[in-house]
Amino acid sequence: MSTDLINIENENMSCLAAIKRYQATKKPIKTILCGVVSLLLLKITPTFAHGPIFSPGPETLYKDGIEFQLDYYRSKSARASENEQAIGLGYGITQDWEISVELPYLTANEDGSKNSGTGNVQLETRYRLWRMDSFGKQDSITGFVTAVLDTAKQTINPMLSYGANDFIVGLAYGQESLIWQRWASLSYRFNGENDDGLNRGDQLFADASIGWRSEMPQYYKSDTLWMIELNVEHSQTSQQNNISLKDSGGTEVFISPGVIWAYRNIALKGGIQLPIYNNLKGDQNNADHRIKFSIDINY
Amino acid sequence: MKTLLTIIILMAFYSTSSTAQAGEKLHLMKVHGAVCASCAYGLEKKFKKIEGVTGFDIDFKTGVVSVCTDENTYFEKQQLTKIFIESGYTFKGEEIKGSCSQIANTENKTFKKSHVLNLGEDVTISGLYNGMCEDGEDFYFVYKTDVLEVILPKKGIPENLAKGTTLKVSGTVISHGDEIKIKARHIDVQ
Repeated sequence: MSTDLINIENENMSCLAAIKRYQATKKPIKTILCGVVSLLLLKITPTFAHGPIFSPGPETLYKDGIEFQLDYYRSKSARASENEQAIGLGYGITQDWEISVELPYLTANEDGSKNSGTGNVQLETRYRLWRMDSFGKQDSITGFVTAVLDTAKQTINPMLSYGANDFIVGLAYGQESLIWQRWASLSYRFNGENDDGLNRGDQLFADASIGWRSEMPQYYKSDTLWMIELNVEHSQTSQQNNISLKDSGGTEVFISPGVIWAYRNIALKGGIQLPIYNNLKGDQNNADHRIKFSIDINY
Repeated sequence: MKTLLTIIILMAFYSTSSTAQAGEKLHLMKVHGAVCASCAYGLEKKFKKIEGVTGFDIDFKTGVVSVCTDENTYFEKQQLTKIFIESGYTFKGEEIKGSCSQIANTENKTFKKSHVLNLGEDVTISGLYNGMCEDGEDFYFVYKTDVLEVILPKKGIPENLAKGTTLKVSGTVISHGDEIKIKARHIDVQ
């Protein structure tokens, strides 16, 4: 582990101070924690054809089903923005067990600097632990594990990856009926430590969503579902070589209206996350908004 | 059925839009857990892989999956249970009921896919006028294999209408048991 990349003297060294130190030393550096980069932490599991947009749902593909997904994701704060385009592919091993992969391409902007390249590949496996079918209703609980692999283009200014593998584990519950849908999920992200000793704080996500359609679905008619989500994100303080970084960690809460339009095996989804509460520690950028669009095709 | 017995059928339609074929069979299956079209696509995919299956639909409101097959195709209960399980649903039983003319294409379904007529659903059907019968204020006609009736308002039929004239009838499905009844609201003479 290299300790000469950033010589952190103060226990609560800020992100800005770390950058200045780096610029002064001109030593190679892979990891500097700051508010803009924290945007990259916020991307979580892939969405599914019929579930919440910004949080995981309990849906799994039918046996031998294939899901192809195109995502566009944008995150914006005062000084930075990030755009992500991703291709996702899922496969139903059984009706309860699904595996998927997501390949992102990122474009990040920060204070006039721009960087782009491949992002971190995500692998996910999900298993439906419980399901109860009744007339016009389905309740289910699904557990999932996601690996966010350190495959992104390793560059800085702004950086596209921290250089570590992360893992997400979680549970998602759903009660879907002909008119109303209810979802809730709880997930925890274990952020790995990179070669430079940066250990980003782990994150806890809690989500609750309601969906509503104005009329009964019909198989050969398009189906529109309106949704609203409440997303809570709590990040622990990050550490560099076991020293806490003061401009890290905190809590943000979002309200996220969205809509799904589906026709049989094709679904278009879109939504926006708007912050309604934040308590980020130190000097960090609060998120302005995040937008997500996706196209799902099942076969 | 008293009403029907008093009716002398004078008018019949040959639908210009039906895909029903002689010898087809309709399988009705009760399903639990089906709540959206995009989720139920797996069922369609699995049924359509089976030789002899010619049509598929789900009525989410009644929880009934309709599968149209040729007359020689049968499903074992075990086979159906497996299909529903692998699609993520619960199979609650099958009934072979009537013919596939119950899956009637209608103009508001763009003629592309077979569709089970639902109660309260608005449909438009084109057919050839072949006479009519009177029962009080209403008229009936029987469509195809005696499973579809259309109730026409008396005033809606022009006098001295020649047989063979194409009519386009818009109306609402008011019964969809063994016999499907459509109450017409509007009739166009083509």
